[in-house]
Amino acid sequence: MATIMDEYAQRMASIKLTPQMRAAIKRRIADERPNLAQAAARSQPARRPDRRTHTRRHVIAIAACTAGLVLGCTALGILWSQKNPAPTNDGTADGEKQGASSNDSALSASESSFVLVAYADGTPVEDRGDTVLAGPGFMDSVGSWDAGPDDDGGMSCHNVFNIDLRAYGDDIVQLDYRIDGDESAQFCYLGSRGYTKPDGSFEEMHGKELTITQDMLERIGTIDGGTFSLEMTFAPPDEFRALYEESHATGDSDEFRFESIAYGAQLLAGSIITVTASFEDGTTLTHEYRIEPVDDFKDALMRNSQAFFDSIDAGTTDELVCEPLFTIEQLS
Amino acid sequence: MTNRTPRTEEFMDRAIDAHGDAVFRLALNQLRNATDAQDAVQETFVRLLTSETRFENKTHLRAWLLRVAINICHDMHKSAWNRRVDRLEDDQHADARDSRRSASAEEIALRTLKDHPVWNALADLPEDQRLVIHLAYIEDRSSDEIAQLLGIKPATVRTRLFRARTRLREILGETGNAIALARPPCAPSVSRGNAASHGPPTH
Repeated sequence: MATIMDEYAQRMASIKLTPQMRAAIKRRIADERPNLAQAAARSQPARRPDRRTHTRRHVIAIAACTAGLVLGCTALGILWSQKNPAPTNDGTADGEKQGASSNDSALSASESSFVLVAYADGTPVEDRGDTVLAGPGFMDSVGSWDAGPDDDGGMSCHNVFNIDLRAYGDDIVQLDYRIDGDESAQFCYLGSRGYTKPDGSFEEMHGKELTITQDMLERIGTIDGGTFSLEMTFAPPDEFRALYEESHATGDSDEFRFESIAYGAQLLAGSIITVTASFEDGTTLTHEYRIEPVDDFKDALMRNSQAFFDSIDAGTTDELVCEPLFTIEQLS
Repeated sequence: MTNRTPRTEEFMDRAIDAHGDAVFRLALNQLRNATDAQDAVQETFVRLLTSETRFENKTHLRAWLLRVAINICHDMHKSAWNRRVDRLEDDQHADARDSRRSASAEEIALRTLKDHPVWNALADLPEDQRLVIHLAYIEDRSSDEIAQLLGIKPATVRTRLFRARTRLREILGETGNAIALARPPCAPSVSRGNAASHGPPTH
């Protein structure tokens, strides 16, 4: 028997825009277009004289694989030279295509553009227009962690956040990344068996800056691409020594681990990741993204950890999707 | 985030056709007024026109539109006191005008909605509770999906749903309606990570 809510839901479902309403929306949009065109013309630097047609989509994907000690969440492969998906009737793309984006501006834009996948796939944050909860794979798992007394008698922590640095964009030949701040936070790339240097040694990069070249992209695109991460090395406050000693005494390091990872995340608050894409025609475009740990970072980290171990206990082969641990705000 | 190149007319038309009704229903639920709801829908799609967001699929687009519409309705709600009297008057005039001419199916549906006891009971719920009821029962969203959409914890969603249903039972009971609100309100959860695949996992 239908409930009163079923009746209401059916009645509500029959509510539709009237033809007059639809026409009014379309008129409003048509009215807005000239304003936007004028605004774009005013703000547009003469960055490139040629206007081109996008014939293919290059989706640059960078691996972020689980490295193992604590959390293993999202592992990503590499894509290259995906064709644009055909939009479906409802204005969106075929979600089956890997790396595809249905963004209409990308399909029709007359100039180069790109966006971080983790930003594009993020969940908008209420009342913060340009901020999202980072999409899956962006610093929502910790590839490795260690902490304890250092040689100088102080404490030292080392957090490694797996990070999805892929970008959606066309005809990109190089991506340059930079993170501001001191040396405590650096990008890291570790090669894989399938991606080594010509002499057979593993490719490895660390630094405030990271460059993914055309050459790397083409080689990486055919194999598992190694691990990208954001590494942090820092000295925690003195009170962490008590946590460390307690973890030693009890054999349970969870509290010490979660607290020190959360402390490191707070050190990253407000950090700006600058991404510059270089395009086939020689032009470049830069975006800046500010990252912030979520308000309940430690709780979310613990939930992710628990979910990871639950998935192991359950023997599931499903990909584990973690709760976002960071927000991303696009500044420019 | 503003897009320097507005989306094409074709894209906008498809988006309006596919999601315009859902956005309108949500706005109507939040604002309780067809005229305001129409304004909110227009503003939502104007923002889509200028947004640079990349949409992975129709689910992503719909979630984005609903999220934007929620914010717009919230902003309009905050300033509603300034217009409330005018709007009520507008609606009364509109109803009188509509009664004198042949109404479309959409207009008839709107009128019959306003006769439903749940519609009237929802008017007494706070904005946030009315919203979760709409997303759960009308949009068939799970608690997890609503949490993602609103940027709040699933536990908070469940709390709001519990309180909203309790309050609805009270209101509908007072008005002599048989209460059966227990329809499972939430579809199975689909995690965000399932929405789009970006390549084979590497280990």
